[in-house]
Amino acid sequence: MKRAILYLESLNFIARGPALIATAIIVVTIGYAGWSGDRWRDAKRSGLESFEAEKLDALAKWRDGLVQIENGTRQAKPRDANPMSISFPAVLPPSSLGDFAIGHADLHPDSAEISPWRNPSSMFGRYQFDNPTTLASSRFDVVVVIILLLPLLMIAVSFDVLAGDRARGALSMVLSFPIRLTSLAWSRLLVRNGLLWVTAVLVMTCLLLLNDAGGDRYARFGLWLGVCLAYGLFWLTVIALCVAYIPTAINTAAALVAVWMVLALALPATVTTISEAAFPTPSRLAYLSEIRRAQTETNRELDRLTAKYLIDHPELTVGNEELPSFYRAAFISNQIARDRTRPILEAYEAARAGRAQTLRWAQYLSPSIIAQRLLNFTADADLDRQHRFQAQARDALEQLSVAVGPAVVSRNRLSAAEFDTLSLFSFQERSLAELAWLAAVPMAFLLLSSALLAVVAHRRLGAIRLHD
Amino acid sequence: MKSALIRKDSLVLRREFLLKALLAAVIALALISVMTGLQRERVFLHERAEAERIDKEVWMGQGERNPHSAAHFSRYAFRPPSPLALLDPGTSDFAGLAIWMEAHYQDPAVFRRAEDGGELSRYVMLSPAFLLLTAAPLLIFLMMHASVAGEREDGTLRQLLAAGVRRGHFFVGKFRAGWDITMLVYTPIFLLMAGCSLAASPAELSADTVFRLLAMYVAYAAYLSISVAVAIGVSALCRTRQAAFLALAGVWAVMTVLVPRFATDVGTTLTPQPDARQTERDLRAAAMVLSRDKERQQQIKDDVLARYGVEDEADLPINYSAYRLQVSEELSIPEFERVYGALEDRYRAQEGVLRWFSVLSPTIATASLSRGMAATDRVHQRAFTVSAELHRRDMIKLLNEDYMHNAGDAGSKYTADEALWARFDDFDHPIPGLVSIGGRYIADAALLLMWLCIAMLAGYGCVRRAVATEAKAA
Repeated sequence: MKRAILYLESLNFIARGPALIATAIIVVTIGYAGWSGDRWRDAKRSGLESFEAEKLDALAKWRDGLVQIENGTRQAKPRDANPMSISFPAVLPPSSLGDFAIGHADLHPDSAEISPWRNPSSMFGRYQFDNPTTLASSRFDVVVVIILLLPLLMIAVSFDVLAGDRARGALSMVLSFPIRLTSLAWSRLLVRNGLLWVTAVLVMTCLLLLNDAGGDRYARFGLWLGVCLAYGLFWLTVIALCVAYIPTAINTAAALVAVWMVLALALPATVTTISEAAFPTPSRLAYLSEIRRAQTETNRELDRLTAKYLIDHPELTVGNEELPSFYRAAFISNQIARDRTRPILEAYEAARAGRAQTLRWAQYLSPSIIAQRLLNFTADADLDRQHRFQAQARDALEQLSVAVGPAVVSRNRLSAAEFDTLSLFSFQERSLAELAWLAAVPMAFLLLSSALLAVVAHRRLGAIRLHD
Repeated sequence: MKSALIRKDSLVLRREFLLKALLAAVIALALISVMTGLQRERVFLHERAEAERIDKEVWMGQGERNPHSAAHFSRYAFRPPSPLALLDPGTSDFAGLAIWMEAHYQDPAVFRRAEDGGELSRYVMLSPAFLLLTAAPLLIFLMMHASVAGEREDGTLRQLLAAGVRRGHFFVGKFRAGWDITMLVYTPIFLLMAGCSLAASPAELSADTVFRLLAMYVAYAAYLSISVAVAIGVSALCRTRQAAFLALAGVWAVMTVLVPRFATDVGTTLTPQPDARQTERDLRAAAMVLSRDKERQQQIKDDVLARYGVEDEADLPINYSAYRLQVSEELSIPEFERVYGALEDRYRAQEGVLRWFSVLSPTIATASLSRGMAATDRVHQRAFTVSAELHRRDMIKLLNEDYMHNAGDAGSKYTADEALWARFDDFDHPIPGLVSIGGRYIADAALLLMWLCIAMLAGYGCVRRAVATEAKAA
């Protein structure tokens, strides 16, 4: 009987207009978001590849020049093969699942120049050319569809699973067959929402295959699907709960829309605002001011600072005196700027850690926050990845400064052998195991809370059958 | 009869418990957004004033230096804070707030506050404007979904028709009841938020600010009126409360959440964001337009030697290096204008797509007007960057001219001191008056007005159709 009801419900639901409209909306929105995300990722990848190729080409030429000078096949001018001119590219590659989520990836720098000419503020170059109007609105990616749109569509197709029959007076007749109200309600909910989710999973799988970019895409997609389905399950149980407790369709729909508004919009907005107010980051302008002060100080006291550096490095012998002083002035200024701004960067890290800690707890207030975070983590579109790239690039700059500093200040060249010990920048990604570990507790919470809601809804539905 | 209809509907609407609960939630969110916004603005104003002070201190305290070296070090221009930023932060967090006015190079504005935002900041941000644009229409839709559908479902519409209620009066009664309550709630909330915004600002209240506030109030009032009319129209199209509610929930999601994001995405897909690395290369090329052109350098040298009637640059009464630096600056100006002009065209093309999508959602035009009135949109950002560039040109010219005329035999070893640094005015860019840039918002205002007219006409048309259907059935 249950199978027959399920079959009948499927036929009945699929034949109705709203189901087809909802399914079409899912196909179009996820399909568009994936296509647009793929274009964005390709453009980003192409820009990064040309940047990297250009820098590596220049670096190879610089090394050739150095080797020629060492071999005596080239007459060296003071500025030739100067260690200040070493410049490594540092890039943050788009993730293998980057077409699914854009998140913070369109706001932060994705490339840097690791060069002694640069300081932690200037190493990311001038990257703020995007239109602020469009940046402020955020992109329409698959995450938006999953987090905002799918729950609304689920509500639209399910809010009247019992109330519709009840209003027409058909519920008692349906229950005269050997079927329980709980089975009827769950079957209808599963059929209606199942259709939506099967469509969503199919479209996402198509995107997975069509936009394939290699790497660990399939493994990440597995986790992505897990998060999506856990989020969908949560909403299914919320809908079941409202259906069980609220007798009329209109009140069920109103309550569900209100819950959606609170969970998907109000709580994330409030949590963000409060965490940012509780853990303000240091002023970027204060950061700028410190760098300016460092530059003035260097300009005024270059001789004293050079002498101090040479005293700290007694092994150095001064090289070519013809080399203009602005080389070492720029280097020392950048060192001072780095030291001066270190407390500010540490304060940044502390504020970010505070916010992250707040969000780790506050995410349990709303499944939308959990799902949004986990989906961004899975697609590497999270804020933490951007900050890790910046921190790793700053570390690489510091290592390069340590390696070339003595040569720059003493106006000497590096040897080709010394240069060859320097390593190229490679971004250290978070491993899939780390990702799974990060997702484990929030996912467990989503599943547990869904189970709890399902049990409560089930009991209530059972009780309704007794009084109907 | 019309006033009786308004009174009755107002009473029914005020009795809705769910509505009261949601209204209380929205007011609580408004208070949270205002309080956190106040704290944020206060901190920002302090930081900005401190950065300006330090910038001046560093400039004045740079000691003796060659003027061209000082031009490289230069100063920063800081974007002026808007007194209405708390009400609508607009795009200000996504645009740079400082510009380095260095020699040779027209820098973009840097330091975007959005980069300091938290994990969820790209997803949703709480602000008074966000509440008015997003939450307020939902409240109106919840409040009004049964306005006509409920009367049809309960059979009271036929009774009203039998009592001789005219179609026009019926629509006006429904509209006025919803509109009165909306304005009753909206006006004090807006005044509260505007008051807090003005209180947080150190600037004195000017006529321009009052005019902007008034325009913003009117824009939101129009937007909320559109929401009321849409709610009545959709309600009239549906036979049951349930259907009306669902339809309006869909309209709300599409109008306020999906279409604005979708429009942005289509805009940036059709006209992609600029490649930052390529733009930087273009700017670098613009800055080096003279240094890469040996022929032109020679021509400039020949010209200046001929003008002063000498044969060697050492015999020139001016410092030739400084002269060349200034010529280089002037030759770079059109090149910079070309690069930034191309960026501006790209931005406008993206915003053009957004404007087209305004036809699908009044939220886009209202948001654009709101940002404009709050002086937190790209138009105001552009005015700031243009003003900073003009200041940069004047500043670099003054430094180069000092070097040119006073270097004498010292040549590149010439240094100037605090007396020269003190001759420079601080960068001051007042927010442009609405009178001067108001034209930029005519299209958005016209779109909003068009939406209002169409929503009213369509609402009335739908009610008329519903009344006719009921009359026929009766």
